[in-house]
Amino acid sequence: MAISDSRFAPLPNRQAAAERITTPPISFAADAWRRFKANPAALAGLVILVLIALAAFVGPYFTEYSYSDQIRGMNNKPPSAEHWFGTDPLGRDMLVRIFIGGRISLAVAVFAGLLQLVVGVAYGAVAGLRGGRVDNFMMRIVDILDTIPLTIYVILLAVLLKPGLTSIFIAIGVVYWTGMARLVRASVLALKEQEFMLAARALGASRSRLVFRHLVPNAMAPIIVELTFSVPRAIFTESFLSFIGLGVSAPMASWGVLASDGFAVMRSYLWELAIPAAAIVMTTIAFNFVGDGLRDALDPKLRR
Amino acid sequence: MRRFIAGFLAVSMLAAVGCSKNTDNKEQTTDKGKDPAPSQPAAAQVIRINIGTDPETLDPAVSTGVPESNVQLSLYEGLMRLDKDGKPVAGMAETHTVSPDGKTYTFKLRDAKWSNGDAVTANDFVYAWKRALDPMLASEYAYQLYYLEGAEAANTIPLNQLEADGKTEKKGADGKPIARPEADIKKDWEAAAAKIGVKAVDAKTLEVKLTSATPYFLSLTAFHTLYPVHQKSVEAGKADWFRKPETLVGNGPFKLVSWTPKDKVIVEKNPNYWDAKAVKLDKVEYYLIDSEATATQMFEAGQLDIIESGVNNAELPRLKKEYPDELKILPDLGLYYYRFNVTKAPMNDVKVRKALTLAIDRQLIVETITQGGQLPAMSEVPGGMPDVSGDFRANGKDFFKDNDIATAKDLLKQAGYPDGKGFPKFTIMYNTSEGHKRIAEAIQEMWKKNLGINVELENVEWQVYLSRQSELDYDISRAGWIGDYIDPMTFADMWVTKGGNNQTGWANAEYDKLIATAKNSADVAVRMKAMHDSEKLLMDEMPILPIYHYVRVRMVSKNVKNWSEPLTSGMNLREAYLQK
Amino acid sequence: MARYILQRVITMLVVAWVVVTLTFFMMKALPGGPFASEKKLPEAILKNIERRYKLDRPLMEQYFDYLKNVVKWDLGPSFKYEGRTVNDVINKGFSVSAKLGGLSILISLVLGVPIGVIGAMRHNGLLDRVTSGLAILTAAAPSFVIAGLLQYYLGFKLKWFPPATWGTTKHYVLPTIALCSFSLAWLIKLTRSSMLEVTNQDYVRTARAKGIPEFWVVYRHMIKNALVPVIASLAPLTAGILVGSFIIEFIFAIPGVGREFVVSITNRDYTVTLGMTVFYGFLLTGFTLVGDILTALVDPRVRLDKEG
Repeated sequence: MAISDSRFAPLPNRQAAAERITTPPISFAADAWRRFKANPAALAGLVILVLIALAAFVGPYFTEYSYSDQIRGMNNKPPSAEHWFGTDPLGRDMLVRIFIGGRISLAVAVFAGLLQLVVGVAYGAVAGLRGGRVDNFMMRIVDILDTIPLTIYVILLAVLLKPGLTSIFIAIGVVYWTGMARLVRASVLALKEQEFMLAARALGASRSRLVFRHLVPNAMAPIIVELTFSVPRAIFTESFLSFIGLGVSAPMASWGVLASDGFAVMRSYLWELAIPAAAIVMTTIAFNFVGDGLRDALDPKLRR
Repeated sequence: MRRFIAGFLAVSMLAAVGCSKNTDNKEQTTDKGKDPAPSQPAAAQVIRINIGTDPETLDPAVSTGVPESNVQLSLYEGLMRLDKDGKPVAGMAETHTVSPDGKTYTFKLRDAKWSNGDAVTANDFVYAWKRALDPMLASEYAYQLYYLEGAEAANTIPLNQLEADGKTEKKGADGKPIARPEADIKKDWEAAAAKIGVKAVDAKTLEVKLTSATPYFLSLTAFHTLYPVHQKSVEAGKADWFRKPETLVGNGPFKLVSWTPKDKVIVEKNPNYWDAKAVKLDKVEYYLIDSEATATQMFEAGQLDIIESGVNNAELPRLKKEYPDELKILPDLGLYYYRFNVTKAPMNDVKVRKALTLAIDRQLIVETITQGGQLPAMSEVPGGMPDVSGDFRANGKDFFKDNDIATAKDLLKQAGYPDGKGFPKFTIMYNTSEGHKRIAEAIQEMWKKNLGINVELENVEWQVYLSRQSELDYDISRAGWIGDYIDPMTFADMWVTKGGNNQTGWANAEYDKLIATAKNSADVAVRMKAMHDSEKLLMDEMPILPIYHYVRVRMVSKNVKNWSEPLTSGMNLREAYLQK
Repeated sequence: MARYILQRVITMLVVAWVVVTLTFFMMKALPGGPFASEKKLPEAILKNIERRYKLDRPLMEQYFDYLKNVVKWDLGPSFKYEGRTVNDVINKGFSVSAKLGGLSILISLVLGVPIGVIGAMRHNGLLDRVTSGLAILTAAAPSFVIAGLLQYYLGFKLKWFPPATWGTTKHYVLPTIALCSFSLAWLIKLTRSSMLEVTNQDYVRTARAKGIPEFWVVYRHMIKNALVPVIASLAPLTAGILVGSFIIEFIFAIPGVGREFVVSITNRDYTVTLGMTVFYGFLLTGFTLVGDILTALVDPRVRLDKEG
């Protein structure tokens, strides 16, 4: 059977179309977000965090009590319809006290996290990357900061500064990044000898590019773990600062302070310990989910 | 979930230590009520008592704290000892006489022995008292002996070189005083020590001369600074003679077995004690548990027989309900109060001070916060102090009405702050503690509600608190005071002008005069009147804001009999015993 | 390497000196003093005391006296505890805290690292989910809550172990669990994360592709690399745990050195605080050095002395 030429038609030139990128180009951040969204645990963690933050900052406007209102005859009452989280020894509504306490504790946790990410990671990365004498010098400063008892310099700060959130930030700012610096430095020491670093150097990558594009993303695992663990630690450090006199003044109280006050009455009024402790635990777990999700989302090796 | 991991770890740990020998049989013998009845009913008479903090020393001359005094009460005995009502009765001194002017005491010692068998002599007291006053020993409580003639002079001989005027210290180039040579100080001390009013007339007779008649001196001889010590052991032992049973030679009902810092002090019956037959306990174990929650739980678990220090105040309502027979509320010689800094406006206005004082509901504070049966204080001196006849407090009555809001508002208006309008910003300072915080929070709320005044709260570290208070760097400061001896003077003399414990900036010449009168008079009626007048003056001027009078909260197992803890004394276990 | 270690040991001494100096002057700058109390002492008596403890000497003289003695490891007398030297306070307390801390860190290592490794190998498996969840729960719960619950349930209610105090092997159990809970959680999470990180490394894939047995891949190629951050975090973790935890020692009434450390600062017991700080400084810098050397041994590519 003959096939006439008419049966053939030239295909349109699809060269351009074939090369065209049909999906819009996605940036690293967008890609990370896409993968983060696909992770249900991470998303749940994020939602919980947003809810907790909302409760802390907006919640107090929706209750009829203030954190300092003492209701006569309502001392140490267990949770009820009127007081969802019960009342404390002075007859104050625990719900609104938890809300207000969350402001301080969340602020401290976020500040500590940022500090570690910015100061701790950069410090450790530089020490590790430079190595040798610079490393020795930088890390001995870390040793010194870790050795001098926190209490001493916090008392000194408490004498010099007025109590309040700024003072808490200053106190935490001086020492809180050293653990992160140690971890990142060790990872960088090991990573900088790997082949991809050799390649990056050979291509003439700048030092900051080496750190932020190559080393830090590859050291993400310990960074995220340290960040997660630092949440409860920061919250309890704040309650310690409060004890020394650097924290917020009574009757305002952070979660850490509420929990340690509740500890003394654990056997009589369990909710006074359980509720602030649960708030801390929930926040930490949420941060942990978000952290794990971030790690997976940011992992350059998991990008496909 | 956590229990799962804990249990898992526990099992793996036990597997690891399973082969090691079990040395845990000490506890079984004393664990009451759990094991089947022991074969001998009169088994080990051992009392386990928690006294809280680790003693800093057991040297009676230098110790200052309550835990120390508890243990020392078992190890030593003074000329007098306190019976269960707090009355001084014959201790080392069998009899005593007082001169008509009340200044000379003569004690006849009984035939008593030290725990090593040596005889207790008058010289032991002379040695001990002079030792406590020696500036080289530098005892913090040396001033407890200042009642003795020449004692203060001897204790305060100059240590640094003086200018020609004999008063001001010569300063070196660095602005620091120049120390005198050791030998010079020693020489001065020996000369001054010879003039101290304590003398051994013979081996069994002690003569004591006081600077002025001191009605409570007999009780004072039962206080630890005035205990005798065994010269040979003290001098043979090193700086830590009181830490070792070999060199801690005492004359009390018990003797030291061991002292593990931060853990336990164990004492056992002293067979050489003069009244050994009155002592029924074989052993006392002093536990040094700091944590109140832990101590209370140990008691509830039957692992402690007495909590002298460490009843969990936060859980008092539960403890009252579950342990009605064990929880003991004893009176105390103490006042919980706030200091006003009277050098600062607006606290320099007596009307403001009074308004703030009146606008507090003390009854509510003791009922809902302290909850231990504390007594609302509408006066300074607590009950329990003897007057010419009767009780000083009962005779003196309250000076104002509790929770008198109407008067308070009126006073505030007179001071120029109607309904609290325009009242300057001010702060209550307290050292960090949950109890202090709660009270401050309650008072803050009361002033806000009752007077329309907003006060801020500031908690500070303990030593920051102490130094700011003494530098008058505060508006209102939390304070507490426990009397040293059973006489209103232990409270009254705090408020003399520039007194070390005044710390309010308050100065009143009339008050100073009244205190001087009371101190120098041998006539009880004159003394007491001066002290009543001084208290009234103090409450008129109100440099302090009384809140409540302390009580002592203890837990004592039902099995412990015949214990006593009178005012100013530690827990006395001399005649105590266990009965199941 | 030997040269590098020598250099580090010398810097350790410099660190110790800086720490002593800073702590000394900061301590002296704190308000109050070892003999401050609610009952104020008469001036003359305070003078006697200051003379006895040489607190009336010029500050620099006190400082150099202290330095001279520290060199001989004579840490001076305690101001608070009559008749005790700081050396004695540290020796007695540390012998307790170190036993407890050593046991805790050992348990954390023996359990934590393997659990972390297995968790990563069976990523999102049951064991991984359970241990990882437990770890984060323990990390989030304050240590006083863990200690309090252990004391209440296992000590008081079930009477399995003594609720507090010190003495027999049984007394170790509750405080050890409470003390190691944090380090155990930390090691599980860190090992697991670090292992996951190396799972997808090229050299691991290469090793697998070459048909090297899985056990060998995990052991030779993964664990060694994953251990780098673990070792780095062990130095402060171990030093911290060995000198004891104030909270644990407080709640379980353990005569350890952690309590002394904290209490001495409140007491302004200068010599005890200084002695403890120097002691801790040596532990920390020492462990850090050991950690660095270990890292270099585990991962031969790490060159500590190489300038970058």
